Amino acid sequence: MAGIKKPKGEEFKKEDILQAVVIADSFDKKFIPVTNLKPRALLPLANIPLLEYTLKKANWLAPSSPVSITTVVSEDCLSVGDALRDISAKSLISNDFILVNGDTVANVKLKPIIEEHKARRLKDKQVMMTMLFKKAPPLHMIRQQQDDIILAVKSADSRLLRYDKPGNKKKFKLPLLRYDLMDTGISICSPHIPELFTDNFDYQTKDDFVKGILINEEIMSNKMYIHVLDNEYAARVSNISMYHAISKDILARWVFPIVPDGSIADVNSCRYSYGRHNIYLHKTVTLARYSCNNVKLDGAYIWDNVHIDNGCQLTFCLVDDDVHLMNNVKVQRRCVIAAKVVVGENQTLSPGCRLTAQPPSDDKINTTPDTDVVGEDGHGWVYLRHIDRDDEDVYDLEEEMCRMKIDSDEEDDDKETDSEMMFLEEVISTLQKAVMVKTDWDNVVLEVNSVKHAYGIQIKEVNQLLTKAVISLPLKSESSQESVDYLKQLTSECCKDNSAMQKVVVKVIHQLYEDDILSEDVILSWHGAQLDDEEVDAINIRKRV
Amino acid sequence: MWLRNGQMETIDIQIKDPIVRNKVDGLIEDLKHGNILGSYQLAKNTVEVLLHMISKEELANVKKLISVIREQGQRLMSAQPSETVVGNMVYRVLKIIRDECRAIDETAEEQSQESIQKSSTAPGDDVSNKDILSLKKLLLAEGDVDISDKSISSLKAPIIDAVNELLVELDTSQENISAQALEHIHSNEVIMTAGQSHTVEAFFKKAAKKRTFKVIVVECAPFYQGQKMATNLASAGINTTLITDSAVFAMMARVNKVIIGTHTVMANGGLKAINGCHAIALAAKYHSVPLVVCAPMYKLSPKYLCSCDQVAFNKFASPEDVMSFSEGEILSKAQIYNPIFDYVPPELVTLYIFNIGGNAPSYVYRLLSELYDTEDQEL
Amino acid sequence: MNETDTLEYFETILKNDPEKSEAVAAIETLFHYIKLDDAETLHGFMENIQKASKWLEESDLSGAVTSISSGCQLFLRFITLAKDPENMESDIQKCKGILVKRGHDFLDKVKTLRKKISKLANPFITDGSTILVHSHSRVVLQVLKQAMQDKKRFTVYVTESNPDKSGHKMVNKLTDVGIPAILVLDSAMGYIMEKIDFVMVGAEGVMESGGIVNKIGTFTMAVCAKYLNKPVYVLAESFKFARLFPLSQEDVPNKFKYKASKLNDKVDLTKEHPNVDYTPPSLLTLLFTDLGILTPSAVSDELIKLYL
Repeated sequence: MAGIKKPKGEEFKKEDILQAVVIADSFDKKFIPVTNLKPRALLPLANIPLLEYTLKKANWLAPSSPVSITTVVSEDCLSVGDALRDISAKSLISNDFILVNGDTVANVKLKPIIEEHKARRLKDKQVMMTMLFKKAPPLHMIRQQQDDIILAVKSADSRLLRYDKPGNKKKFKLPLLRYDLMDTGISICSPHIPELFTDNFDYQTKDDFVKGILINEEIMSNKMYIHVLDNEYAARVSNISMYHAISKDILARWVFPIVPDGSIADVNSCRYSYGRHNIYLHKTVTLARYSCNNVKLDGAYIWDNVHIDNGCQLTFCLVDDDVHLMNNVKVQRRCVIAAKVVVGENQTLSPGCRLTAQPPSDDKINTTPDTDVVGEDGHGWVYLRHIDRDDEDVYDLEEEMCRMKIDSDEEDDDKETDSEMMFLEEVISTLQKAVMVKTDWDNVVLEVNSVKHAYGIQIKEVNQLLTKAVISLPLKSESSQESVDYLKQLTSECCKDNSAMQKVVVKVIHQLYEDDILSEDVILSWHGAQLDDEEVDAINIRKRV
Repeated sequence: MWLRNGQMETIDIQIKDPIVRNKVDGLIEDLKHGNILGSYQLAKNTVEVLLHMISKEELANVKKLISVIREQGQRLMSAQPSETVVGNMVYRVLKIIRDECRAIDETAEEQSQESIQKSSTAPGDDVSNKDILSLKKLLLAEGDVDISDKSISSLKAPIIDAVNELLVELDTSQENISAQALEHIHSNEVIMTAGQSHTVEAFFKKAAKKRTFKVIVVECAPFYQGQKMATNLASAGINTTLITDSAVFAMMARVNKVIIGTHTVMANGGLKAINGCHAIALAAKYHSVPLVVCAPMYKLSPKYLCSCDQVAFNKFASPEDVMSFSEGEILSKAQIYNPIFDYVPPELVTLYIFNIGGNAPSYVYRLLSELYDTEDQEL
Repeated sequence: MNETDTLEYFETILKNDPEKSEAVAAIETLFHYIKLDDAETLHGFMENIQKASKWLEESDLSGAVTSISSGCQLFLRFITLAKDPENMESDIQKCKGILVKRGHDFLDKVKTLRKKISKLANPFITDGSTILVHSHSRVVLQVLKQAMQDKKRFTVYVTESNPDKSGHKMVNKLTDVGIPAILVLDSAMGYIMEKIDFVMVGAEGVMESGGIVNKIGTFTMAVCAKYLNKPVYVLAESFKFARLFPLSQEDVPNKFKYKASKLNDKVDLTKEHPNVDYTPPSLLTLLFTDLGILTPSAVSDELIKLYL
């Protein structure tokens, strides 16, 4: 499925042809099962295939001259690295080129940046790459956890010194760190880059490459630079939450003039009309005078030919082509329904459910649809996938804490016990409230964060205190029932797929018992309450207790 | 004339000449991406492309020529619907073609009598008899002049001449407007203006050669074109003050005249001007300060404003200029708009200065009927 | 053809086609009259026509005297225009032939006028708008129906329009085609004004000033609309254009304001309710006519073109 499109801008100067490599495949499975039938670059965003956004941009560079596009199909490519190696083998690149992902949405005018890059290269032959970043501070809607990066940048000439994904590291002791940037997936590369990929077979992704270059900087003296976009917009549709975020940005016109009623529209006519409150209507759309079929759509993305019957409720989900939802179907958060699935009457899809119309290939016995999910008259299978949490919204408190460790690495080191205590109080009450009212975790995180800033707590302390708060939550509980709930929550949230955590939880529960925080009754009643639960993990924990 | 649409047979409207096609497509791309700046350039480019089309395309008859231009004009207009100038120019060229046809017609009919050929480009001239009689035409059930099967060969030269005259009109319009500057700007006057307009800038500079006066420039956030305007005026030696948008009302009391440029003059005499102009116009009304609008004729649009939310009336740019994208969180909670244009109703405008002279807003309809053919407006 | 015949003919036209405007019916009647007319000289012919139009204007058959009057005037103008100096003097029969032929063409065209107006006015009715309508008007009805067919969603408020309560008729006709219409009291005009997006009225006659003569209450409505800055749109076919330039309500001829029977009976007019009022052009936003969308100031231009 690996395809590389390679538009060649013609005649920038006479001998200076501008080239761009558009990597059409994403080499990951973030949109599965939708991408089983349709490559990511062709998924519609605001009714326009993603690739179109990139290729339109190519037009800007050479406004009058038509751009010639060469399609390179590489059968055995499994990564960006492979693709570039292939390009190198075919020696298609002769000059500085733009490396873009096929799923990039941007309104950047690249010309000045390219010129900047060229000027740098003229001075120093070892300049390898200029990467484009967009400023997006932590907790920005468009910022994704798996894309978190920390950069060390030389402020004088914006040279990149260090590039790290914080997922695996915890402490940084470098000056001039930047944590407010987001990779846009656009970079301007020197013609040596494909060769470098060929030389180093272990480079799979651009991340590998960038890290490799920086580590070997001493030896090879290759240099990287970054360019931070100020007024322009650029982002990659790297997963479903980004799909949501970027769709919203397009509708809110951040990517102007790439808006549904603007330049991205069909050549022949501007088909969308723009109304107040960012409402876009296609010319052919007519609204019924009385539309009250009780269908409720909230943040739902619905593609072509979808049939939705009366009384359906859709919340933050993606519905592919030709899907049929029968009466009173409820689709909850983060559901993805791939093409041609039929969901029967009165079914409720649990959050995060992914449905496909093809039976799972490795499962030969199961050829009947998963009727417990799609209903008797439905058609579709639950797509089983490996545990791959990184593109999910943050649900796990544990994960959340890990994230917050790096939230503010530039804060000062002044401690105040008073504020710590107050912070603790505040966090506990917040958590308590959250447990009682069942608030969305996102909100809790937000609240905790704001409390953190309010009391000027250092990040290390936040971790300590937060853990403390979580542990001592039952301390404040008034009734034993609440404690039981708390235990349930703790085990089910933390221990499903993490054996290391299971051990910890056992210890925590034991400790709580020892300290007379939890009474024996409570533990027993919790134990009893969950007996009918088939979850092996839970039983494991219980046994250990 | 309303029966005509039904009778219209399908005609091949594709452009055959590859160079012309490239030009049209190039202009469409430029329009879409906003590569052409300024109404004057837009108007000029459009007319040039149309002129090219008229001279290069090999078409059998006038009817075909008109339908090709209509069709291509439609494409151009929908490429950037908020740029009315493109449409205006298409209508103007169509009107020229029709007029030339009629002129030929009349001369053919009344060979013995003196020629009544009319110059179609100079607006303000007396209009041909055939246009005037719309109500009379209805009464007499008079047929429309049939121009469909006229051969194009004899018409090509006069049409190209007339379109060239239109180009000359475009070129000279700014000059003609600024030539009237001394009639409107008197010594020691305080004049307010908003945003940046080349026409108004030239107007002020012309007046500054003979008179001394003060200009107050409104900066027009969030694009701050006013700042640029103020710099330009100040460097030309004009006493210039720059104020924020919010200070307009306070400053109005000491202003003698408001002179602004506009993006479009609507058919009812209203304005589609830079955002903030309505507020300025209301402030001027409150203090009874005359509001003068400098507009070249090519900005006169035959379109009416149906409602403020009308499709393609306004343009909403990226909210980046209002609030930075990196502001983060708040963006998901707040709606941010960044409209570019404002509608100013005709009753707030005192005077228009066109390149053919000053006119009241209520006179705009008259100019329209001279510039455009009603038949084309159903496009 | 005598007076009773003429009026009877006029009456049947209106009865057979209630959608027909009074002005058109009057013109049609006059055409019919010429066909049957036996005048020998041109002078006699003209005199007869004038007599017939007077009968129509002074009849009590319909309330819309203004539009009948403008229709008759237009007809007279039509004849003058048709008086070709060459053949007219000589042969009255030939002339009549030309007139009748042209008359047919004219009446054919008249049928398309409302369609044209509704095409022009259609974009002004936006999705979700609320409209205030006064009295009963066929053009307004047609425009609203057209908008309904285009699947626009809008609500119409209709004033009751005393003394003949023609608003009731309007509401019934609107609800019949599925347009949500709400009847309000005449005196509730000011109350309702803030809810609506614009006012849409027909006209019995469009004056040279660009103002209109219409069912009593139109002026009140326009004043209210002006106060709240709501646009007032007038829909009128061009045959309703009349050569009058009233400066005040007083200037509107009595024959427009009162029923002919009242005038003939010589009752004290100060104690009578007028049927129409005059709305000056400054209160009107735009006029939608078959000649195009006109600003009030453009109307006089059109009239001058005709009567020059």
